[in-house]
Amino acid sequence: PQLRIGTLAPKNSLYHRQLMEVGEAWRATQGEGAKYVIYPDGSQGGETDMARRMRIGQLQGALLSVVGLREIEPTISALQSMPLLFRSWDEVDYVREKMRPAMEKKFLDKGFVVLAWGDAGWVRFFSKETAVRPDDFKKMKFFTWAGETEQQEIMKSLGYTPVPLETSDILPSIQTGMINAVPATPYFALATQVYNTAPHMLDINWAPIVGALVVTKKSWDEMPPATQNALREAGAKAGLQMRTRARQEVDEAVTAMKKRGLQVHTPTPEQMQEWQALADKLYPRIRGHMVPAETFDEVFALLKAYRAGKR
Amino acid sequence: MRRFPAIDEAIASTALALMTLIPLIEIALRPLHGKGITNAAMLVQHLGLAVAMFGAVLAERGGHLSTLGSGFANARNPWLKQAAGVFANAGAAILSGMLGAASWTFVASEMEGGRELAYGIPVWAVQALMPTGFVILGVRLGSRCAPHRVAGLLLGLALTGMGFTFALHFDGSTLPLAPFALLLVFALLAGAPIFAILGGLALALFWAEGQPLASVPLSHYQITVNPSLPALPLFTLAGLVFARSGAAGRLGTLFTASFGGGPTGTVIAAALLCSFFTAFTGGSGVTILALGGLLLPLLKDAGFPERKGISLVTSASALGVLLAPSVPLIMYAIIARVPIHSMFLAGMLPALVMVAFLLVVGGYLRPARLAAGAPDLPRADLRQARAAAWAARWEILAPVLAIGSLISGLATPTESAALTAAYAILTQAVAHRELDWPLLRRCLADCTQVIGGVMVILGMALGLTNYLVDAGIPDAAVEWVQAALPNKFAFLVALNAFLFLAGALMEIYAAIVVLVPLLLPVALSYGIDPVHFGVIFLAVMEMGFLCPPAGMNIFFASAMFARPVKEIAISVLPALLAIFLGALAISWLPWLATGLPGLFGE
Ligand code: NA
Ligand code: NA
Repeated sequence: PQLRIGTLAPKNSLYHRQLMEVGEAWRATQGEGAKYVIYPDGSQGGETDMARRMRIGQLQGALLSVVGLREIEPTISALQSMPLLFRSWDEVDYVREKMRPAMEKKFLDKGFVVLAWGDAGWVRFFSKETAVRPDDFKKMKFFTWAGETEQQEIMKSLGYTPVPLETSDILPSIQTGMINAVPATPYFALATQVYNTAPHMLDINWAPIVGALVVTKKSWDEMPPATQNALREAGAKAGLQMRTRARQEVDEAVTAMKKRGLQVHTPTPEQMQEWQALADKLYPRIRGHMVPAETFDEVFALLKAYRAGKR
Repeated sequence: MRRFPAIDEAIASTALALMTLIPLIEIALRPLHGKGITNAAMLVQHLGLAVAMFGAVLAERGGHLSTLGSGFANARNPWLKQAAGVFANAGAAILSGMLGAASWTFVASEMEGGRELAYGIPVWAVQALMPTGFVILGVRLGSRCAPHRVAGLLLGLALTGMGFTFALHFDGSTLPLAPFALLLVFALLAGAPIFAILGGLALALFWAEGQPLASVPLSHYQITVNPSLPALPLFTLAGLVFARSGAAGRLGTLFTASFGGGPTGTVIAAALLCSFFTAFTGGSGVTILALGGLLLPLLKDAGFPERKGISLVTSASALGVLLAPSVPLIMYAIIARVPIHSMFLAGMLPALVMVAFLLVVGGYLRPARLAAGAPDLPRADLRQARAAAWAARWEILAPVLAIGSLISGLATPTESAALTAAYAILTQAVAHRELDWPLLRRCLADCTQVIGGVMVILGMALGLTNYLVDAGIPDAAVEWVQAALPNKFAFLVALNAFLFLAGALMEIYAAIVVLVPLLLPVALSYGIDPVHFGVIFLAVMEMGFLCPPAGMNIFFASAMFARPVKEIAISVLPALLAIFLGALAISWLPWLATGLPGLFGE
């Protein structure tokens, strides 16, 4: 038996260590010769490549963000593609927990079992010059993922200039001025040194980066029930670790970058209103295009219920 | 050439033309915030797959698929030679059939969960070009085994079908490696195309592990649609257009006027011109063909013995590899995941160092004294040089456009390459009126052949690389080397020697794809900068062009100047030593490579 897992996360990172612990739990229930291999650092390709390698059976699992997960099930975009929708991790957790059974069912129908849900921090804007209002960014060229066609259309229609690139092009492009603004998590900005060239961070929680550890249903069905249980348990534990620890590491990343010259700009309430107005303009364009209408409405309903209940 | 292109040429050339046009349209529309072309970047990348597969088919038709170029295929005994030909083609047909089956399995998996590319075209429809291409390649290779057309076609279909069925049936089972490996070695020596051997080896290795065969075509797809890859065919197209028009003559005049027609001037001019052309055309063979006829008479007039002149043209054509926008430079950037323009900047000083080493250490400057009394040779003349520079102004500006648009941030690598290709076509067609439709058509077709031939090798080599990663071999290599070599300098010396051997035995593209992922982690563990490592790697690989058995330049020069391969191989020996010492110097002085990118980086 073998379990081969791919991820973009760097070797020895928090995510890699959690995957190793999942592997230990899996191996403990297996006999001699069981092979558990993690391919970190994107050595099996980008997130879409890993989704492909799972489909042909070369990998049995992968730890992916929504960029890769939506290759399997597009409705997952609801958790990561709606700007300024979530105000806190509590809200993300609540909505995700409510949607989880249905979402995991959808993944199962597509041939994948979700073992753990994780996240990797909020997307913020890193730019070369100071920018705090939505209009400040109109003169800038934005990084967008090459595959996200719909998002590029939306940005163009609002007067922004998206430049579709791959993740690996971000650093050279911002250095040459091909792009001047990058939406990214602080953890990513620190790891890739983007903040050296783009030392201004707008402190808003634009959107959370959400991810999951999935394995193919084919490999899951071949496991004895004891192994499945052990894997479920280890997955739940790893997911909890990835969520709590990742949030902590994000704060540490901002502190570390501030020490090395990062300028953090917190929008005033009026500026925040401008951003919210922009987001309100975006939602109808996202609904039915980037996020299926049904899922979109579900997320809004859940959030409304959560906010009403809290009051 | 036929009046109407055959279907393979039509598909490949149209795809290449669209690859040039779409990025230009996107640049034009960008300031308008208009809708532009939906998913333009992905469309262009997928056109690359059409260029790769049908370019390879076209290359097969013209007999241009790379083979080892030695072994039984060149046997003196006619019976042995014929037997080798049949074995090589039959083997290649069966292997292509297997690759066709593996790609079909991959396409089938994509039909289940794949996405739409643009304008209602599903991604799998483009991916289906892979099984189609491999099957056509198989049938055509197989049909070469029989002298008659119909019998050949039937034989080709039967052989390809055998390979296809075998692979489909045994996919997922574990098969032993040894018999495969043995047959592959024989097929390689018999003259089977390199892509089939590499692909067959990758399949055999995945078979030995019981892993899915579709892993190999998936890697082929992954590299072909890489966002940086469209730069390859586009820069090559620009280079071919310059090589086929009068650009070479204009630049030759400029260099002679600048450095004089005496031996020293001619030698410097020849070395620089060869490097410049190789940088643009990628294949240094093209340089020998384009410039050989122009430079050899000039060198002879300057008092050079013919043999030394041939040696200089042959070896200097290898040097352009480090000069932007050379194909190997782009390829390294893609595989090592470093920015393309960092590699462009990093290669500049080392390229000059290599030229200096070649001229000084290689002894090409020495005949200057012998020919001191030579009669009325043209001297360097500022006024003439100015006139020649004006005549060659469009050609001189081409590298400025290529590199400038990249480092100024105005264009992505693909857009910069498309701009350069369009620029080459427009200047040669409109300003110089030297490029008409038939010639443009030939440039497009030749470019797809070169790129198709390279891309199938590259894709299969990446399948092999994916096996190495899959089996955890790079990690093991790091541990092994670190235990064996105590420090950075020991490692650098060993690296140079190892790469020299590899360069002599392997195609430069296959070497980049297979060896970089293996050696780069080791180099990083010794604290070597990835950009510096790339420059060392390519510098040593330049020797591979000049060293049998896989030295392409020797074969091109032998064909161009009608001289025996052996004579040319011996004549470039001093150049080999010079390049090796130059590579050592570049290894020793990292700032030669990292200085310029650092200056422009932060
Ligand atoms: Na080139
Ligand atoms: Na070589």
